Amino acid sequence: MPKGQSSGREIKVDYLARVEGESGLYVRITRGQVTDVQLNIVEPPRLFEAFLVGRSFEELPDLTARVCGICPVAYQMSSVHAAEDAFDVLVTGQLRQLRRLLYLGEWIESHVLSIYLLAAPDFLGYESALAMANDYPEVVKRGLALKRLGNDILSLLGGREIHPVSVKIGGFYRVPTKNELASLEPRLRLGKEDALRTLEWVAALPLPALSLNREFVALSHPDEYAINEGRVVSSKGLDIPVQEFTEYFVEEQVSHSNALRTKLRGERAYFVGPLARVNLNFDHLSSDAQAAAHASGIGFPNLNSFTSIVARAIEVVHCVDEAMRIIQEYERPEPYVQVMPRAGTGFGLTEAPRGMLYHSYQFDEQGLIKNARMIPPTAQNQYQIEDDLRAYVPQVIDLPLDEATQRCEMVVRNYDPCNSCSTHLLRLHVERT
Amino acid sequence: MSSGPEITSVKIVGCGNPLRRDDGAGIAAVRLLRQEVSRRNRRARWPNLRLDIIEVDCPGLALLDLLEGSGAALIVDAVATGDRPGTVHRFEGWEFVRTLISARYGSSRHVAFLTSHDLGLASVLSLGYALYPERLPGTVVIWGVEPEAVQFGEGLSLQVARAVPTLVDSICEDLDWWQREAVGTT
Repeated sequence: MPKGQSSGREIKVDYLARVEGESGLYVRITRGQVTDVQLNIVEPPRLFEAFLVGRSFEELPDLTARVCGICPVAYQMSSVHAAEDAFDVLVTGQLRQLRRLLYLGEWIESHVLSIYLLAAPDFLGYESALAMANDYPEVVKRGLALKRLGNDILSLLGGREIHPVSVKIGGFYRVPTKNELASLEPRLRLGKEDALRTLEWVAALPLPALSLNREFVALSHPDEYAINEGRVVSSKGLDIPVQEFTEYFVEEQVSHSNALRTKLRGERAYFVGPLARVNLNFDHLSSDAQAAAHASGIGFPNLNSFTSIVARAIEVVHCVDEAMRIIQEYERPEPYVQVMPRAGTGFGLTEAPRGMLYHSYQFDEQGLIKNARMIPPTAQNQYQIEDDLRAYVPQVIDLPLDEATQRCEMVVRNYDPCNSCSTHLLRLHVERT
Repeated sequence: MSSGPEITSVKIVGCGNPLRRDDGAGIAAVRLLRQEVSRRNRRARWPNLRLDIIEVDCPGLALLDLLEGSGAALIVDAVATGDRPGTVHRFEGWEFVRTLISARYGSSRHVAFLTSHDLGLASVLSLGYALYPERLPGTVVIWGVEPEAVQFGEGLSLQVARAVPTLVDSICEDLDWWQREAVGTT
């Protein structure tokens, strides 16, 4: 579109910074109205679902971990739960707790990265965390120390901090000793202080308003803050078992994106991730996380997607509390329960840091994979992100293009999108005509 | 303080992904270097250096933890500046950060790196210099080889493979310098 046409504008970002993987954004404004919004996930397709076919169930956690360097544990957990569902295996007690602990480590690491290095610079007017670090060194140091804590939990349980190698169907290849886990206690005590200060800090950031009529969806469990087990519930009354997920959630191909976009039946956009979880499962947060959330002055349930950063910080407080509890109650179990493969289909849905991650697998009688399907959180949020942009662009339409573009990018970063995972998502183009 | 000659600890960190062809040049170089120093010449040639040779793929922020506690550090990686493939580069810490930033973004532009995917060496080092200068070694040297091919696949391209022994010789000369420095003969 030629520049200088007074009737319209275009906002275009070819490669969004501070998101995981490659994606772009395109917004077209015609006579003051937003006429097109496209989130383009340009990360090349990964084809995991195709090359898992023919592989043994035993290889699943190591292969699926490779889908993502930020949330490998999520991929491992959804896949092991799906396989265990197919083979009718129940992992309970301390092994189940250790899996939660591993996942909590990943939540801490991923949330802190998002809060301090990816999202916060926007709210404080910096182009990057590096520029922010020059003016707020102590803040960034606090963030890096907390992130380190998450990584260290992952290393201790998973053998290494990226793509852990200890997870197997039925449990772990090796479980830590009580003393090894106890070594984390002093770190968690310091981490708790850092987590509480993080929450105070993000709640005081100048958060814009973007409240829409939304449908939040998350896993929910009667006894705990749901991470790897529960029913899929929504803020508008949906309540289904994981096995029925694809009967209600529908994937569609759109030409502008390499990710499949997911909608709720009836063409509804929906919202997954930390804000959905805090809104739906607030009562199951640790008592200190609930108290700190109340003290933050940000009310929940909250419809403003800009409060996602606050939800993330609340979850970090919860993670540190729950990790401490698990470690204090730990008694070393047998590393795994026996698994006998059989023909059948299994379903797994767990809460990745960014939201629900659905896996299903069909196995033959030897446990070889006949069919695999993964629905990642960012693909589920894609439609919601586009709705947010459609609502938000009129607020920023009169700003200089650079500033309008940057504000649109902030909207996207509220979702902490992980594009490499979802190309089974971002560049910004805003076009005004 | 001991009156004997000073022992300096040197960390040599090979970075890169050998499954992306020439991106593995740093790994290939430290493997060759390890062969060199595992022989008797280690004690003969660098008696006052404690050498720690590490291979990492893309260490991200963990690089700062890796470097902590050593007197000097050598980071070996593929570094693309647009020169002829196989060209060997040597940068000192800050100089490296500045060179890469200006090459990639133009010197006038404020740097917007630090996406979670792009925690490259320059970003991590500059964050380290901004936050924890006291934790970084006094000397950080980056040795780089100009890559030709970084697509998926194994094996270095011819020009890069030829450059690796030259690179290792140059790294050994840096170690010679620190050895002389350690005994006070520089």
